Amino acid sequence: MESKYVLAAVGVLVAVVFIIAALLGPLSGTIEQDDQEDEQSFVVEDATGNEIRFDEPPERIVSFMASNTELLFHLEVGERIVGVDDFSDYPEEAVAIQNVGDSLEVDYEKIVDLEPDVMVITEAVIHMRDEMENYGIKCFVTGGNTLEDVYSDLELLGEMCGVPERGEEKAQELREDMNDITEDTKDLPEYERVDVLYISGIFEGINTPGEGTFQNTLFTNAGFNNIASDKIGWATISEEDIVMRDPDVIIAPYYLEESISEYTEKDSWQDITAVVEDEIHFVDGDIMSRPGPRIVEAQETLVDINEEAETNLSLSWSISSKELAEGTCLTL
Amino acid sequence: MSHPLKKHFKTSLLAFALLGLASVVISLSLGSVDIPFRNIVEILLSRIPFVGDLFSTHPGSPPTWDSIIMKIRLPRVLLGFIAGVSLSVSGSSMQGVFKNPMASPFILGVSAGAALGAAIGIFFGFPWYLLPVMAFIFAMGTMLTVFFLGRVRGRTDISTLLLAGLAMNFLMTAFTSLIIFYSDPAERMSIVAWTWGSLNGTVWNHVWISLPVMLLGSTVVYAYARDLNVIQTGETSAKQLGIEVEKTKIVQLITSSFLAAVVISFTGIIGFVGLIIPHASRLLVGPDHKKLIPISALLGGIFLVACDAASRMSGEIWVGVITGLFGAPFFIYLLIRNRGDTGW
Repeated sequence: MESKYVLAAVGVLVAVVFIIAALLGPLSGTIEQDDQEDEQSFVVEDATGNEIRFDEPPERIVSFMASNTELLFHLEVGERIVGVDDFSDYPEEAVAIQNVGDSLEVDYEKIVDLEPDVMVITEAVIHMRDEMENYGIKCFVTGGNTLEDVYSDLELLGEMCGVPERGEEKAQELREDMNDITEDTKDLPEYERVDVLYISGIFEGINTPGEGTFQNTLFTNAGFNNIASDKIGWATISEEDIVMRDPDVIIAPYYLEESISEYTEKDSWQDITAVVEDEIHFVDGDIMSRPGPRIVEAQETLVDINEEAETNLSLSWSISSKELAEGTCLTL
Repeated sequence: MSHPLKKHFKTSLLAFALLGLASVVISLSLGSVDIPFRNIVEILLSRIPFVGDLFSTHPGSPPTWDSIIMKIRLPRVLLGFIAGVSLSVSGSSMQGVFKNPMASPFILGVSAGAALGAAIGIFFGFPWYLLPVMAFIFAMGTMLTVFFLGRVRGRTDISTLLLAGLAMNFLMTAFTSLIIFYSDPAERMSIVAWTWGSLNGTVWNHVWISLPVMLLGSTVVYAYARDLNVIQTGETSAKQLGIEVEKTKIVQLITSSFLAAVVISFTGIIGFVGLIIPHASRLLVGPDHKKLIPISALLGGIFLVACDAASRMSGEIWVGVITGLFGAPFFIYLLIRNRGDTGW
């Protein structure tokens, strides 16, 4: 029995020693802080308002998230990217860059091995900022929630990369392009708008962007009325709601074509205007989901669909009202 | 073939200890960045006081290699070993207390409880060091509920106990799913991934917390090895021999929950280790807890280090999936081979 207590005592002692050691500071991973400010050094704020100090504009960048990669290439600093996440596939040059995993399984070893001056991440994976600090890697966080975020991300990234004028120029250019495309549709009155349902994905229900997403703004500016705009952020919408809200147009990424047809073949969907009028459109899911420079293409596509749908629907509306009138006459 | 290593316990303990060390070193040399074995040894030796001076410069290894080994791989491999030891010792203790080969942190719902505690912590944005505390509170709660539900007229009824464990497992998993449902789509997948267990992204702080817990917990469990042995012969005779059966049980349950909860709060749920390792050890050295616990500990550490190495080499398949893929068939093999003789 006694040896039992001796053993327990030894165990407690060892544990106490380790806890003290842990409190005294980790034996490894101490970050040496250099308080001396370099004359050339500058401070950049990222989208979260976090201030990051650089001695010189970063020459080696790891871009985590496809939209960040597209933004950096748009700023013509693509050649500085040494690592990208698995989803970064645009522009073509990005495909050849070393992959460093995705948000579920980050390849920390590869990232450290690439010796980046900065890692560009998004708010969705903001926890990586603390993780990367362990390895002495700075993280710049982009916004990407609204269209304004996209413009300011360009400006802030430009500032960080030492090309502030180019950043402002590109942002202004993008803003103007977006305004030009949507000039006629942006301010349409409610009654002239076409009701749209955008199905962004099918995961535990039908996923759709609501209020506060840049996609919602894209639809509104293209002359649509997003039937899910009463929902906040990324949401799921029930089939009952879809039937009740009766979208005139349904839009979804190409890769969902098969899954969507399973829905549209259902009896319960047969009264939905979009199904009746065959107004189901498929678009490039990447340009719709990435808050990058290709929002211009997304905006153009949506304006085109809106125009097409409007003609088709108003045509069928007039037919149906004619039929209705005839029908009424007959009954009378 | 019964208990082949029973007579050579000390030799096998030493052999397993060396194997454990080897598994850690080999595992250190595997990863997505190729680092030559020689450089790894140099990097490790250079950190040892006095000896390190001889190796202070390692020509040909860039500083990033040092970073990768010391800040990414070493903590990860060590946590893998610690988690393997903790889960196996926890399983050995539970199987001893309940006198049943089905008992393990996974089966009795303790893992699910710990996972729920940590998931609540993650959901409400608690700092990382509170996650083990949350995990322990919920694991402990689950364990005690299962324990008291399983008691019929002052005795532990095994089938009631296992059913209680099953029920609590479902309940805790349901709550965890509820949290997953209410979390952001962006966070959602990472919590889902976490319920499968992963050692990716381990930092030293995780090691500094779980190492003393492992040492303390394993020592406490081992200290009661003799009592556990006597309990196996029957509670009445154990009481007659002067063993405080109830106290032993409670201490063992608290300790085993603690061991499992702390590692689970860092790694997520890694199943099967706490079930199959004590089993395999029992087949090797017999039911004596004085031999069983140390062998389980080492075997568990080696097993999880190997599974994690496989996870890394396969592009980060969740380690819990791998322990299941390797563990379950191995378990079935053991059952078939030793039908009727599982060491009990």
